[in-house]
Amino acid sequence: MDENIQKLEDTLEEFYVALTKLKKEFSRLAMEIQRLEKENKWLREQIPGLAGNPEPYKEGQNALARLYHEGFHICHLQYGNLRTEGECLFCIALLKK
Amino acid sequence: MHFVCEKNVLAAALGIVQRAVATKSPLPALKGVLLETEESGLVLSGTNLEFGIKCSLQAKIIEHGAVVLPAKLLTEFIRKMPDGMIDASSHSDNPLNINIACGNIKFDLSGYPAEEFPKLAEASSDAARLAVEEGLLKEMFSQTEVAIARDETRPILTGLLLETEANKLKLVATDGHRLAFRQAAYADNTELKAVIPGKAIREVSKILEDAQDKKVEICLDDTCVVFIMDGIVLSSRLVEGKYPPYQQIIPTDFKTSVVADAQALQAALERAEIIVREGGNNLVLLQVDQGITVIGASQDVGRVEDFVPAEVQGEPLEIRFNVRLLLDCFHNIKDQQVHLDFTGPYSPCMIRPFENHNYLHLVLPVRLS
Repeated sequence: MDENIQKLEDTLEEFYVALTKLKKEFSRLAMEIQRLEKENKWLREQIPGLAGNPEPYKEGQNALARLYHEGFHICHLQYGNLRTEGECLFCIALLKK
Repeated sequence: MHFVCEKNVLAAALGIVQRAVATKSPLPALKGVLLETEESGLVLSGTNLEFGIKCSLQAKIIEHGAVVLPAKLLTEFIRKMPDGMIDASSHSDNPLNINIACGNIKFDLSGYPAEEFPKLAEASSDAARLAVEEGLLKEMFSQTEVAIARDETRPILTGLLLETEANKLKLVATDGHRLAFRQAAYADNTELKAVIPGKAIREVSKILEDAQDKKVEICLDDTCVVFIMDGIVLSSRLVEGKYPPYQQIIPTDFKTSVVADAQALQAALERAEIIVREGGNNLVLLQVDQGITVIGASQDVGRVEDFVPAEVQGEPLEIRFNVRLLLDCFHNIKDQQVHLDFTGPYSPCMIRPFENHNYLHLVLPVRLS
């Protein structure tokens, strides 16, 4: 009987720890969503072609170059994410095309 | 369960298997080593659910059985035992309690049922199989492993791409700032592609020997890879996803090409690193003109300027690099001369051994804002 109660207590403790972690993760994700929404809005404002009036190819390239130099990834792997670790081989290759 | 084996053999096997054992896990069995007896001897297994290692060793089996014992405790105890034979047996009334004896020393260790130990990843029966010379694979891994991404923001880059095509075995790794590529001739013409987790590659590299007469068997299916070595099996899940098209980022036209003595350039970079490391910026400036001048400078620390004679073709150039990334390439180049090809001060530099076109590194320069 005591053993069963101990087991139940252990399980509840584990559950509580997991729940606390989940809550923390949830609030982190909520903040991340908010940040991404802001970033997305800003990015959309920066790309002229995205609003519905496609610009010529060169304009698009220039916009990409500008985005890259402003510190964002333009490669397929991480498009739109902040370049927190400096230069990116994939973005550079795209700019060189 | 009852077996007798040599202490040093058991200690060595535990040392290998322990690399796969989870250090933190809510499942106690995951922090343990599974000991199983077979007709031929003892089999030890450890896993952290990402990858697992299975090691077979010679032992005299007196009674068959299986148990999971705490890895850390068992390894420490066995290491501290005097040289000689180890006799391990389970208690008749409690098979999970193992008595381990060596000479006058005896200790009891409580374990967990073998059924609680997760099954290690196994390649399916129709998995593709490759046999590669052990020494060659070790060299190929060491040349490419440095470029595998450590940070998890782009999970696909935390793995090493292994592909076979047109009678070539190719390994590719990139963390977005540098790329390492290595290829070797391979007899089979089957086309394979898999991304193996960097952690598994680093562990396999530690186990592999320089031997040229032994072969490693690599089994690959859609979800897992298994490396079968001499008495040791390492299995790992593959990284899911599509590896980015790396061929597109390898430049083919260059504005400046340099051939220099690999050792002299490496030594110059190592000297510069002493200064820049102290200053905390890790940046070196390469002035490419009549040769290569390596300049390392840190405010409040000092400055080093080192001229390395080199054969330069094309435009003169000034370019800055993280010295650690350059040295990682040079540590794996055994040729006397090295090729450095540049396409501009902000584009990746291609570094490759002069006579070996099967190996190359791409390193991005650092742009000062």
